[in-house]
Amino acid sequence: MKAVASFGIVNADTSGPGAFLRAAKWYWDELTDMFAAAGFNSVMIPMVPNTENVSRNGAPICTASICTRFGSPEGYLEYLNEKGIKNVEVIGVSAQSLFNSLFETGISIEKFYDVFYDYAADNIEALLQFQGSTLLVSPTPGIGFLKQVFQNDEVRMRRFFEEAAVSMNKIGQKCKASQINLAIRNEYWTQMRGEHIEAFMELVDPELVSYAPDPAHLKIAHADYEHLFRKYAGKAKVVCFTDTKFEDETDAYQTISPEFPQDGRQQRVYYDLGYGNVDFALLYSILKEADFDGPVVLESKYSLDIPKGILRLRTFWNRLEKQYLKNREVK
Amino acid sequence: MVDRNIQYTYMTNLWGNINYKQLNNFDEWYMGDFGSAYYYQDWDKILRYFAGAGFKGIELMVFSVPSIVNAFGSMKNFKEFAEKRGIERITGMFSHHVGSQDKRNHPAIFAYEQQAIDALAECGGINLIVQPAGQYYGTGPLDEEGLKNVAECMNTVGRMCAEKGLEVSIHNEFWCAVNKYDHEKFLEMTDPDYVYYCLDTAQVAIMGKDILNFYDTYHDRVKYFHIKDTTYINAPDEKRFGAGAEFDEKGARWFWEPGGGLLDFKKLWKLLKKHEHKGWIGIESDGTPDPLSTILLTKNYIDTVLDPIYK
Repeated sequence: MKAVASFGIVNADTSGPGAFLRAAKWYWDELTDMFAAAGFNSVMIPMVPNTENVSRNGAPICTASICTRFGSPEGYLEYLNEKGIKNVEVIGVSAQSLFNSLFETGISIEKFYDVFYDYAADNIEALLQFQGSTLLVSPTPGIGFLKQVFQNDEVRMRRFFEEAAVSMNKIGQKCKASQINLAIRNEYWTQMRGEHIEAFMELVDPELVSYAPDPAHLKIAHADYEHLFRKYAGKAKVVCFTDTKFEDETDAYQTISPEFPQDGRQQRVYYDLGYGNVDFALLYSILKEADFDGPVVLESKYSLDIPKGILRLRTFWNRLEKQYLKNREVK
Repeated sequence: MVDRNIQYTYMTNLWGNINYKQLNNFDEWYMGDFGSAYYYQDWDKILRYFAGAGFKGIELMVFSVPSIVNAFGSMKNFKEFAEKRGIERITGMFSHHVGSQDKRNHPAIFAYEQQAIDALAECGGINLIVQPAGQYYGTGPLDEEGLKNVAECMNTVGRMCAEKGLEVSIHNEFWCAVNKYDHEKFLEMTDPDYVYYCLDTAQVAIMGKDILNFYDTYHDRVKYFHIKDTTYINAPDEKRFGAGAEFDEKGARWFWEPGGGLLDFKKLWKLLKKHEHKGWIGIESDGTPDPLSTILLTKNYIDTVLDPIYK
């Protein structure tokens, strides 16, 4: 297994002292050094669509900002190599990110998956230059947003779900031609949620599209993450490790603010790895037993203390391996 | 309130993007991390920080509209929430006209701006503050036709604002495609009946303009302000025209709270008095590493330096 540290540890759209400065290149210069110092030589970058507001900043947040600062993804890889990072193993693209950009771009929902394909294709090209292996896709926007757009019309929601699958196959073909993997990630507030995950995977071509189980999102959606890891570990191209303590008591998943629940006593969704209550010792042993040798994306999404969070990623991963070996000795 | 000619409003962008309406559980954000995240993530507290420091107005970024609607359901709900916390007016909203030098982009810009105008009107706003074109890098310099298109775009949005009882004002960034060499020319190309000017003191000084002379000359157009200081007056073209110039590669700070840099705000306030300026004056502190400190230092500067000159 290969530990891949996710840049998703940084919430670029949050508030507080210094939050504005997360768009500065110097901030990412130092952060990149920290990932290498914590022993990670491979990273995952969640990429948002190229829009004017993010393209001019210094964060590696979209291909346009990377081209603005480094000339090209290849130029950015050279920069990473100098800092001790060998490659960008995984790029994440998200239908919710694209949906969020519709306010600025004015693109209609009818053209959503045409534009999504272009967004994915642009990142496939970047991934090749980054010498990466996998495009990780969250395939639909949030349920709450879609309900609003489609005015709770279940038929249109279902049609959109099917369109997402068609789009994934098309992106999968592009990935295959480029000799990279396409993996679908579940998020608890998208249509790729809980009991709908396996239904979605039945709609896509298994030769083109694989599933990357994401345990925090499975747990929040009351899906059996042990079952899904056991079922997919043997054929997965990548898996995600994410942690949570969040219980969705107010059904935030179907609101238009699912990642930032506005009501209830529980409003924090993501926790640093090892600080929630997902059983990673179990998941690690399942992956070992299945001889999974692909990338494991370690994502302490939206960490509240990013330098500490990066060190916690390393501590978390080291402990998993130690614990696994110890458990084997006991057996 | 009644004895003042000017009121102060604060642009909220110094905080970043605020995702929560109100956090309900301190422990959730503290235990295990032992940091201060609880204090900086919700509108409830951030609005109270502004009001607590004596600011009765705020301005918003257009990029905040979706997350505000997600959190509050509507801009009207947000306005009511803010009023309960001591914010009397949401005065303005910043937006931009990227690509306006090309007429083919205008319909998309108008559609985008209609969303901003509707959102601002819904929360009782006054002034749409607009970056007139994209960044200089990759766009500038603009030819005559391009500049004319930028001005026409601004005029149309000015009329769209007027239909909703709002005004539009030009906010000229030091890294904008409209820049030092066509700054005043551009202003004069716009329709004075519909387009005003928001003088961002630091941006315009970094661009290389004498803000005192500019205000004295164009005071009839300068209806709005973004007050901020800078230590970097008259930056060379290569600094302003580079890729992503707004964010210095090495982290150098462009903008400071008034009194923290080199601009002569005392003379500017004497000019405000001379021209009998009235209305809301915006403070903008984008790029500060410590918003609360900057807000309090700014208020103290207003109380001790600016108010004694003109208020």
